[in-house]
Amino acid sequence: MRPAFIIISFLVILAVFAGCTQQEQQQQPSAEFSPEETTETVNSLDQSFVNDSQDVEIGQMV
Amino acid sequence: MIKKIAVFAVFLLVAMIPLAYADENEQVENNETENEEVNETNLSNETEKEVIAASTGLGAKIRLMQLEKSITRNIIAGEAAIAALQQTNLSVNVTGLQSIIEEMKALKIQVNQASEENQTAQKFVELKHDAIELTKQFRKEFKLLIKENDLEKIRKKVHGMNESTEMKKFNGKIKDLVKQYNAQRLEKIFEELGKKNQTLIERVRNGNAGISEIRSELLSELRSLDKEQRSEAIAKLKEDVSKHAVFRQAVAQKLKAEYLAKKESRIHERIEKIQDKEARKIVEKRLEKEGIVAEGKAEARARGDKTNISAEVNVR
Repeated sequence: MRPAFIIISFLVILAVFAGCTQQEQQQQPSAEFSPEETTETVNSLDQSFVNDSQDVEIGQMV
Repeated sequence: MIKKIAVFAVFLLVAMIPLAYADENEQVENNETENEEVNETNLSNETEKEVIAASTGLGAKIRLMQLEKSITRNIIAGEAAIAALQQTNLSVNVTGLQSIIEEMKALKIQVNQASEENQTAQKFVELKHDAIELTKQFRKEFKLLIKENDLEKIRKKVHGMNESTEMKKFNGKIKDLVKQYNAQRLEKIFEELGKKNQTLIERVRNGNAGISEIRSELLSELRSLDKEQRSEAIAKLKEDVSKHAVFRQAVAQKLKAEYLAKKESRIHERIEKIQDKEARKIVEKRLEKEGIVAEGKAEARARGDKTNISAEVNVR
């Protein structure tokens, strides 16, 4: 019975550790950026440029 | 055996607490953000995008000029629609529609002056909202005066109209300013990244490179950096994006807090810009009817009674 108890305790500690690590990861964003994130950031910057073919829309009269 | 299973279950429950807590936190955060978005901003998605460029003097000038162009387009369309309506029904009363067009003409002058005076994003958003409201009002009133079949015909005719010379002039001026603005913006981004790409900046300034090229050049520039430099550069760009989001939020909040209060003075200012006496009278009559201008103001102006003219202007 004793070895089984040790294994179970080990698994529980592992689960607690995994839980804590996951929480930490959610709170601290990684400093490294994925290629998707790079593209996403550049796309977000797009909005600060002006497209001369796009009008300011105020709707149609009829 | 049962005792050990119970101990295991308790341990397992304890182990699940951090996981459950993390999920709960995430969910609460998402809900709060959603609620904030719904409650704190009345800007449309399009206006939100337009506001970002208007955070600089040149950007605000471009947005105001684009707005002036859209108002001009609607004045031309509105006048054409009124003429077409009168052809279908000679006895129709178009005074209300003409009054809206006159107010739009005065709004156009207001926008033009704001553009000349280097006004801010806030002014752009307020005047844009006024333009949208007048357009909606015209559309609503026009629908009441016409049969559905005729409306479709007029719509096709108005939408198929060729671009006027005035509109073409706007396009030219806007294009020139946009090239300048985009080149300045790109220069600032490169400065933040500690990079130089004068060739691309010049190409943008001369109109030989558009937004898609800027995007792909920025991407390849970032990809050429090593891991550490790239992380640093993206963090800086993200900071830039965050600053824009904060600016957008501030404009939205200010609009919500001040739009109605400032509207009173904007309408008053607008009426004063209508030079033609008859036109001003029909605008004041309509605003009186809507309870925006104090009753008797139009008559008082016709009599030259200055005391009554300065009577209170109520907001819509």
